[in-house]
Amino acid sequence: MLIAENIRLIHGNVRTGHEAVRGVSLHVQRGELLGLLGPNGAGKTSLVSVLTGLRLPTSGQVLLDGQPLAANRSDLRARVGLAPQETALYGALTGMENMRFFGALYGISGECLEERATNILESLGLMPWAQRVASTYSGGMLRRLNLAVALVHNPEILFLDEPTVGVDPQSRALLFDRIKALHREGRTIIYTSHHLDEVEALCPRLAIMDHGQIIACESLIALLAEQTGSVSATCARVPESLAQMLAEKTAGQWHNTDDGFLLECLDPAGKATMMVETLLAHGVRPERLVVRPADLQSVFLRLTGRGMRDG
Amino acid sequence: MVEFLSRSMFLAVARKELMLLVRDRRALLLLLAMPALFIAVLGALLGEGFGTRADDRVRVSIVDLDQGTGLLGKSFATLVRDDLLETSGIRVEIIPDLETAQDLVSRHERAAVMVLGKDFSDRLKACSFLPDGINPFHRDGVHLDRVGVQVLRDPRQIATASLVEQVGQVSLLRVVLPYMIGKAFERLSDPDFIEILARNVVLPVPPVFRPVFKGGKVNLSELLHLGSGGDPVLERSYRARAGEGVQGAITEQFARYDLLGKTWSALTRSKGSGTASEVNYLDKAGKGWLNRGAARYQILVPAQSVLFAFLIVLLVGSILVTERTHGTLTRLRMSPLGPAGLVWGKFLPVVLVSLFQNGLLFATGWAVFGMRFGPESWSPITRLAVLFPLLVSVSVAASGLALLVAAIARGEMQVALLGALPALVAAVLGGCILPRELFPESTRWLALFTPHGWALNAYLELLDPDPANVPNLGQVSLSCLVLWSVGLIALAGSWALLNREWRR
Repeated sequence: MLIAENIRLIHGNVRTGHEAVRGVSLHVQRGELLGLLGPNGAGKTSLVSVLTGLRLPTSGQVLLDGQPLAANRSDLRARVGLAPQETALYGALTGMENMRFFGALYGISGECLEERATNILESLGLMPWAQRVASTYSGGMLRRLNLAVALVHNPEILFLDEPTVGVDPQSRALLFDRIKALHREGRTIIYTSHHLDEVEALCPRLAIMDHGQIIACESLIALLAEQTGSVSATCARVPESLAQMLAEKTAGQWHNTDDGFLLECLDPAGKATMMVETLLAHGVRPERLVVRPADLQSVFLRLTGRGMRDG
Repeated sequence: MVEFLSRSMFLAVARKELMLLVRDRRALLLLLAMPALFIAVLGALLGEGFGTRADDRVRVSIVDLDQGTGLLGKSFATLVRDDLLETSGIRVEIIPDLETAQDLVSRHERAAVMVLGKDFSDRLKACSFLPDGINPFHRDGVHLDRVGVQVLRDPRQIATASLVEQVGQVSLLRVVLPYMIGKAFERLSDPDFIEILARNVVLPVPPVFRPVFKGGKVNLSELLHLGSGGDPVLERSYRARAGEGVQGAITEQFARYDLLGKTWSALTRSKGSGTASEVNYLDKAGKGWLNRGAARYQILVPAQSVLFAFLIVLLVGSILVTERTHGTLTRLRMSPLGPAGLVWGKFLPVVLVSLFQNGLLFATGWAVFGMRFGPESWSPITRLAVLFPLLVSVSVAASGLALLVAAIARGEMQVALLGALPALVAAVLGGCILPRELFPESTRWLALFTPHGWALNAYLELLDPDPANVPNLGQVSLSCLVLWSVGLIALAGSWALLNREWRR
């Protein structure tokens, strides 16, 4: 549905400016929920601005159903919705007035607009406060209204940029539910966040960006499958020969710890039984066994490194 | 540019903008209340001469109550006024009635006022060198009370009052004296005068005529009688000829003067410099602590109105900056609205707010400060019909420039620097803060490089403090044209900037 072909985006002068996006290609299928991850300054926001048609790429092109998403194609851009990171709302207008205004910008009016706005606000738990000016809303309510406004013109593709920043757990849960429901309805969603647990919980496929490039774009399962987990046993000291044997059997790495033994390997849950049996066979009886499967954070840190990205 | 017109999106933007502008009550209050407050404070504090260049000429104030007729179909009071107008270094002010004059003097706003009474002409006509006429002269000039003139003096301004009175005395002399000389010279041909003359011209008789004229002496009267052969008609004719002869002889002798002229210019065969100007009294001071109705409001209200109209840039600029910082501009860019829709959508409500601001100020000026719109000869509808297009033109220029600044600025500080600062400088150059009359002649043309200057030119043309002055509508139209041009060019500039931002 959405295809980015070799996108380059240079801020400022083409020769001397900062290259925020470096030859990114991306295919997003209809109805897909794609997580876009990356450390600060990786180029996520720049890429989103190109994918939404807000910025023209320095080179490359974005195709929406095979048609270039150019600045003058307002009909194509109307099929895209964006809930930006900042709560882009008019504080002096009520929630309903915000909905009506942004709906009117897409040519929706009358009963259709009222009905749609009411339904969306209702689904996001905002209807009781629809007639209150947005400046009186809590952080969570603003986030929900931010999403509501992005949905008012019923976009086919929805970009959500850090949609849960600064919200309480209740609002977060509601937002999650709504995003999942939108996905179930067949909406294409590109979800950008720093909260890896959120992305892990929501997105079946992930694109990880760093230094302006997509360094990984795979399903969550595939990414996790490439990442080692660990099995740690609280037990007496394991002889080095046994430890080495276990490491070879699991294609992992072993470490003695203060209270026992740790084995890092792929699919640790699948290998835990074999490890316990082997230890018992050699007279080592584990008191406690902890299996830590691979998680997205470890995948992310492995791919992007642990260096700070403050610059 | 045309695409958006087929859609109602820009109307949605306009409606939203209007709601935002109206709901920012504090800003709106400042925008509306501040200029009114400025006007009230300045109106209460400034003097009557505000907005006019200091005039160092002596002001001779006159109340003309003269109901009589003097010479050449004019009253003598008119002749006095004409004489004053031909006097260098003064300005003549006509005060409509005695009560106003007394009020002005009692309030120390005039050092002296010369009141020419209703029988001034009649009394002057009675002035004569003959014993039965009024003798108006004394050592210092004219007996004012004898000719029906009263001078109201402010005891606090004795020196200035004396100066004014002296100017008046000189003019009175120049009116009374030639009139009396002319009248006296006319009497030279009068038979009664020739009779007196003839009786007094006594000549010795040669010896050969002594038998005829006993006593050896003869007077001119006897000679004329003798010459006429006792014919009374012929004798009267001879006397008339004698009179004409005397007149002719004196005229020839004093050829540089027209002794029959009766006016100073005719008598002296000269013309005045004619540099004085006559103006009708205007109630420049106003009434009450707000000086309601004072002439200064005719300048203050439009000046403050123009100043604050262009300061709307602060409000508009901050709204667009907020759109950028809050990300709503991103949402607008995502929508099919387009830059033209955004520009028009923002422009129209700003014009409306600006128009409301200006309209409210002028309404306040009328209701609270007692200002006038246009000359008295125009009907109220005509005055409003002429004022309204000017209000719209000012609003269009201010709103267009506000949007241009808003399109350029990226933060509140930039709005202040790019908007308020140039607006204030232009207001100074345009004459909104200090009256342009106080500027040197050589720098006044700079006002024409500011929309403020054009706006104020047109307002001052329409709101002339003198209710008798009919505005030059050509000048007003030209100002409107310039203001529209400024507004639309600025609007096009803001569209170009936003369009570039839209398509980057």
